[in-house]
Amino acid sequence: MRRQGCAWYGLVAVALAILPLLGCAGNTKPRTAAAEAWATWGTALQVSTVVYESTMVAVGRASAAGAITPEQKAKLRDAGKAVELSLEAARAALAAYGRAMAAGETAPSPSELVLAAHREILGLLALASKYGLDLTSGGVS
Amino acid sequence: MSIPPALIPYLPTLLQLGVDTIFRSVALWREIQAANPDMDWDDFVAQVEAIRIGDADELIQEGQSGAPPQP
Repeated sequence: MRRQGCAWYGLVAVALAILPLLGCAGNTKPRTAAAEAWATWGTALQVSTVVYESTMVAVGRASAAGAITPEQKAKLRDAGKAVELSLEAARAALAAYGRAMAAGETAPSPSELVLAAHREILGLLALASKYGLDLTSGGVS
Repeated sequence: MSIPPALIPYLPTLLQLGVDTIFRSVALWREIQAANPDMDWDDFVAQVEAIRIGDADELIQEGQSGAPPQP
């Protein structure tokens, strides 16, 4: 009986020892370059898109509520359009980069275009802040 | 190797906790794997092309139509 108890303890101890090893092996397994690129630039583009879209919806809300003048709305719209175009350019560059890598060609990193889109977004957010837009509660502070 | 008598009443609970921990660890590991999928370049291109960037004018219009009525 005592020996059976020891066997159980041994099995549990081995199982517990193996679990972290399996977990570490799973997490340290090198990911593909495509997965790394998606985690870096693809995700950044997704986040930027969400920020841009939320800001433009907030501009519409603020405009409808009379919180910004038509001139301010026009300036925000122009800044938003610039962001939209730079996001489109970054997306096209990322897709072209992926296609080139899939074909086994060397391609320049699209990081500059993604970062350029980020800079445009910062400009849009600075303008929105200057005009008193509250992006956390639907557009009007 | 013997179990201390004082621990015996707690053995079922300890066993249950151990089993729960193991199952939870496996579930978490699967969640992490699902959230960080490995992919090849074709998958990458498909993911990038699936990103939809809204038109600035349409988004403003959407905000205007969803705004609460003016007092």
